[in-house]
Amino acid sequence: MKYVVRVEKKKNLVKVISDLGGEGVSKCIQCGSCMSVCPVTLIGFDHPNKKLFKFVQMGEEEVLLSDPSPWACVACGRCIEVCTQDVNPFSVYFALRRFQVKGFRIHPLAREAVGSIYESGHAIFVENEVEREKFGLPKVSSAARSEKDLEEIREILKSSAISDLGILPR
Amino acid sequence: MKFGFFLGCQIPFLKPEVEASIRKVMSALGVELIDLEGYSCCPTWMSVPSLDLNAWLSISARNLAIAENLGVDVVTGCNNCFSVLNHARYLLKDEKRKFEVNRILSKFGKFYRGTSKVYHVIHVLSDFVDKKELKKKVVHPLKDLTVAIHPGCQLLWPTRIMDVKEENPFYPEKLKNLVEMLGAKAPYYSRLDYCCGAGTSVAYIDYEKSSYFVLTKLESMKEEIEPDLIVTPCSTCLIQIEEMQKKLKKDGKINFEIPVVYYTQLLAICMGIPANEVFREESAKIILEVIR
Repeated sequence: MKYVVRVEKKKNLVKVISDLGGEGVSKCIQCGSCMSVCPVTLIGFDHPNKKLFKFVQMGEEEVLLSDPSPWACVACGRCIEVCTQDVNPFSVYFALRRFQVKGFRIHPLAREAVGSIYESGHAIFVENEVEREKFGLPKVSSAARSEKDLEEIREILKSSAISDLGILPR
Repeated sequence: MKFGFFLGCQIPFLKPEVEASIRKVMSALGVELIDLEGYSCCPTWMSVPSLDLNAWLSISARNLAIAENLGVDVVTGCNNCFSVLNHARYLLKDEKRKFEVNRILSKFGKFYRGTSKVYHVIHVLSDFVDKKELKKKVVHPLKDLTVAIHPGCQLLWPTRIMDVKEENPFYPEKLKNLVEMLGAKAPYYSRLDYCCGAGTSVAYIDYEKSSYFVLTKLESMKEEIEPDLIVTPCSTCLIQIEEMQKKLKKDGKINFEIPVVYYTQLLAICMGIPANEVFREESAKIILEVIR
């Protein structure tokens, strides 16, 4: 028994991450299938997929709060396809983004996109009616053109946990 | 055949020529596209889904509820919208989540049932439109043209959330068959299923790493199949490959430039629709030169 080192678990993060949508994280057995197909791994981020999942299981909060890898996820979904334990690594990755957001580590691009959705109903919005007319296209029938619909989007955002972050335009 | 047309953000605001090509092709094939009144961003991965699960599912469910009220399935030309909406549909099979979302939607009299499916334009063309009918409409088939296809990740994975799927998403067939139907060759190249590096945000987090994807992809296709044209059904990939290719050429990392088109733009030309109706002026010239 002399070689066994018992690592003290720092905090129960499995439950926290599960509640944020990453229910599968406890099932990860570190087989590495997800990493074999992951674009984030391919281009050399430090802690892709399974490595972060181990940190969740070990309760290493600091690493999880500061690592940029979850924000590099391209949402391709390859990991879900190949995972041998049905972890849904993609969902865990997005739960990790939400975990960082709870600690007020919000990627500026995400902050900008949510602000834009609040203002116009779209993450990307450009006034291009003239150009659209040239291609014979009708007006975009979205919330951007209807105050009532836009108000519904704002209501959803305001009544969610996002309103606590202080990033919604006033 | 009727579908609710989910435009998204990128296509109507940045690539209206792609929207025009989808509308024209579908109308020529007798597929009716109904605009979804009051829809919003799907919402894209780098926005609401990164911040809050419930708000994401509510906004997606709200969009789908608009189609449900019209009694139609949804079709979109954007891989990102396709992926976000289908992931939301998958998660909302959970009754507890669905209940929570409907509690929020009920505030303004909307209700999510989960009855409208979400398809991609490519799925409608490959699995719903009659193949013989489609072939008949191709009046200007392509000759001696080699095409590098780039389906884009979110059209292929994960198959469990989709209603139309590839037999083996790591060796996709649907786009290949659609390109070959136009008379062009679409040979396999080793980085065919590679990510374009745009994804949700890699391009902003690390430019060098993001451009590596495009560089590897371009070098692979150039060396292995020497294509005249790159064809993709994803607006994000279209923009990424177009812009990155220009930058890579300017930086001296590549010495060639291969035109990139959205699939229905190419289909439209083969159907005899004038190029200037589905391309911007400059691109129209380049494309016509390539396919002649």
